[in-house]
Amino acid sequence: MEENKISIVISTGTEEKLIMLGVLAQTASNLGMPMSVFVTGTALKVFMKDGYREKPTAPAGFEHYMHKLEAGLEKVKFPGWHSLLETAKETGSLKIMACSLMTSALNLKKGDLDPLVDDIVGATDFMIKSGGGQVIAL
Amino acid sequence: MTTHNVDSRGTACPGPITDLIRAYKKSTLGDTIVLMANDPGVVPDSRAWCDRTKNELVSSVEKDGNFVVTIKVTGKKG
Repeated sequence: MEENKISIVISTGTEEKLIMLGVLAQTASNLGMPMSVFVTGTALKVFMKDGYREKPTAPAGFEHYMHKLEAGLEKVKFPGWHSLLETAKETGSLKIMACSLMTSALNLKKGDLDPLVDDIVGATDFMIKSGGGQVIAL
Repeated sequence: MTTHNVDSRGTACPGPITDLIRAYKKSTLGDTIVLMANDPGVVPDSRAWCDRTKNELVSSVEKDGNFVVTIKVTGKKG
């Protein structure tokens, strides 16, 4: 298979964005596409150690909609965004990087983050390594 | 030549394609994969995947909201 790399910046930690992140990660893994994720902003909260275990935040104004969506996702056996990321890491080429600005601001070390996070990097590292590939902002 | 039946009914994107690729990894050249799903994305997703991987989408049939996609494994070396 071709190896078109894809890079994703996730800066908001609300549930619908995390679901999309999981779906894209699993799909990239299915297609054999290396994928890197740069976690920043409020998304970093759910990438702290055990952060994914907390009930995800619904986007403001969409609480009722998200409640219905959650019920529907359960019905179609959606495995959950974190589980999709775990699988994508096991079966594909997924790298997850945390933003060094945010981790510095919150005084977080790598050990404070979800084990799925590979490294803490700056924007320069992320942008250089993304060069030539698609970048999607969630 | 083996036929791999994959039942992904009750799951949604990216479940059916993930199941398809699991079956594909176990398959050999000339095998057939029959994927059953009720996620409507399964047909365009299977078609795009076949185009990308040089496998042949033999047919896709819908009946009562269930899709049956038949794929011939042509994208692997013998």
